[in-house]
Amino acid sequence: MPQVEPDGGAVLPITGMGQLSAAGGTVAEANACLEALHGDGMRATPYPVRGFFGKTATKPVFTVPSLREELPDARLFELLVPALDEALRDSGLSASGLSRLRTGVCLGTTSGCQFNVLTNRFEAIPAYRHYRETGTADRSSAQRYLDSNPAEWVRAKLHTTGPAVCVTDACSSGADAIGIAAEWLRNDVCDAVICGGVDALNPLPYAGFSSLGVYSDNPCKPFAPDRDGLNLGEGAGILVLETERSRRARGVTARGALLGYGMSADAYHLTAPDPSGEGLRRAIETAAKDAGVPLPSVTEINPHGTATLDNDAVESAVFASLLAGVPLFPTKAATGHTLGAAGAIEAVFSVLRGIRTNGSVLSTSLAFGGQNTALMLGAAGNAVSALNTPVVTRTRRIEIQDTFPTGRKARRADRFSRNTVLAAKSASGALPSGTSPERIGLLVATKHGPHASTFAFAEELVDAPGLPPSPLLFSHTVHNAAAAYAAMETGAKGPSCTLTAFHGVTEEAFRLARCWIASDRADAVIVVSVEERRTPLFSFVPDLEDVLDCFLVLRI
Amino acid sequence: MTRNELKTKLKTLLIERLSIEGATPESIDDDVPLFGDGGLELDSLDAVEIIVILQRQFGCDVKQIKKGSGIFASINALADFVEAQGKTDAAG
Repeated sequence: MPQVEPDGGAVLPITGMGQLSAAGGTVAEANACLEALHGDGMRATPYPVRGFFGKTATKPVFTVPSLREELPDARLFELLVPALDEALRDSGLSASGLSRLRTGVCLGTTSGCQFNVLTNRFEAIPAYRHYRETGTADRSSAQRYLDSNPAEWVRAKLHTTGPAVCVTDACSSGADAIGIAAEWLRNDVCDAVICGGVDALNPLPYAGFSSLGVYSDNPCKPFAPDRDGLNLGEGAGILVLETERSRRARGVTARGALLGYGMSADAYHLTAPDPSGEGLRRAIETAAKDAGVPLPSVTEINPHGTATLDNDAVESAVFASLLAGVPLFPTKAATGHTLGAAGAIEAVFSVLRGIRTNGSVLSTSLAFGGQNTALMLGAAGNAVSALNTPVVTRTRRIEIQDTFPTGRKARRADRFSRNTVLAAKSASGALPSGTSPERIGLLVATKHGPHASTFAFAEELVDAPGLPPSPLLFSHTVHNAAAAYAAMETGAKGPSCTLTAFHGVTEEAFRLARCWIASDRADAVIVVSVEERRTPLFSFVPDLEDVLDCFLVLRI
Repeated sequence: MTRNELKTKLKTLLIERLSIEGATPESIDDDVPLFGDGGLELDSLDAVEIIVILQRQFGCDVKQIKKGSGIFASINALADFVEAQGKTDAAG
């Protein structure tokens, strides 16, 4: 049983888990694969990854009735639904059970919130090609996009009544979704949260990572001295996270527990992690404190371990200084890098390891833009069920100053990011003096994200299929590029997330900001609401409007 | 394309694609360091963008570029690399 000290936040029971990845079609299959991958000696040996052009999903069998209906025409849902189905079955939650609880949905994704890659694996680029050739937009593909925010789709399908939002923080999205779920539960917003991540393989990140020179044509070798880059994978990981009160009322057994989490921003660079590892170190220390698990008690580390030179170097250095001697359990050689799903799939793996070792497992995620997240997971242990004490906050609308900073760090920013920086800089000027950078949170709320850069990037793929596309453009296709620039320009190093949904996304950002303050993770949170009205998305979605609003949420 | 035309084209592309603020082709010296202090202060993300510019705009084969090979030292060094590949007539 994990050693838990009483001063951390509430320990949250995980009552259901589901996953689908190249490691296996179910949690049990993945568990067998992980045993074969590492054995007892924890030696990472490459496992053949069903990589970019491989096949993954097994034919799904749906037991949750509302999931049996036809799926949207998108690879993403073929991956999401089996994992969701498995997790709900595991938790014992039926559709009617869900409707009796205040159930939230929070999912991490990258491709799931992009118009031009959302529909079937390669179908969207032909839809765009059709638009370029004829000047007419296929409204049915636009409608599919508007109906297919993964979190909102799950809410509609399962008739849940709580919040539903996607978190689009690139490679830490899946872990961040679990952190957000913890906030909703600890702050009495929800009784249960369906959380995790999903991403489908698509040509954009494949071309982008190749252009960045970090894609390996061989099976990836996390932490090996001769590692030469990542492999992409696809899949979904879903957890049903619940309050201890709700678990007891339902009379079900916990599979494992989320003991705590930490989140931080490097405020350093658009794509490279801060080589000092300062942000990652803070995320880990926050997670350990929140979990009430002293660092020497951590039994195993599930690192981000992408097998890129920079990522593994930063992680190695931080682990060596904070957690020397703790065994590493990297898993991307089995799954490939599943981007927005990675943190969630690996949370499932970490729970399995926690059960096996009867210990506390630290799972780290490092994202583009210098966002770090650390989760502490373990077997079901001593329940600590206290809710956070509500705090009083106030929300100020900030007048946006129309001067763009001349800082060199933001010189490459696209319009979406420039607008976000403009707003965030205006807010940081209104912060109470003496606010520590580590105590400033940042939330970007958007429906459509930086679609102009995403289309421009897709255009390079369409125009010259044989040539590498611009890695700079690729870096701007991730929704959280804007948050990365805003962190660099304002110095905000606290928790940071980019939320994406078509309904009420700014309200969800306010809610999360208040949760962070109540959880004592931030003293002030900058909230930026941003949309850009640019073609070609404007041709598909005619009511698209330019939006730029900024708010500061403060503790009173 | 003459060497001077090539250098001007390289500078124009770098200014545009890397958003080098306040620079013109005339203001960038042919020998100014592209990376590190005292020059244009470009970073690793600019470097991978330059590699793609060499491929897309000049048809260069970039496989033999290795760390520390010096092709990113300056505009002159980049021009040497492009000329050595004999691809200065590629469409832009």
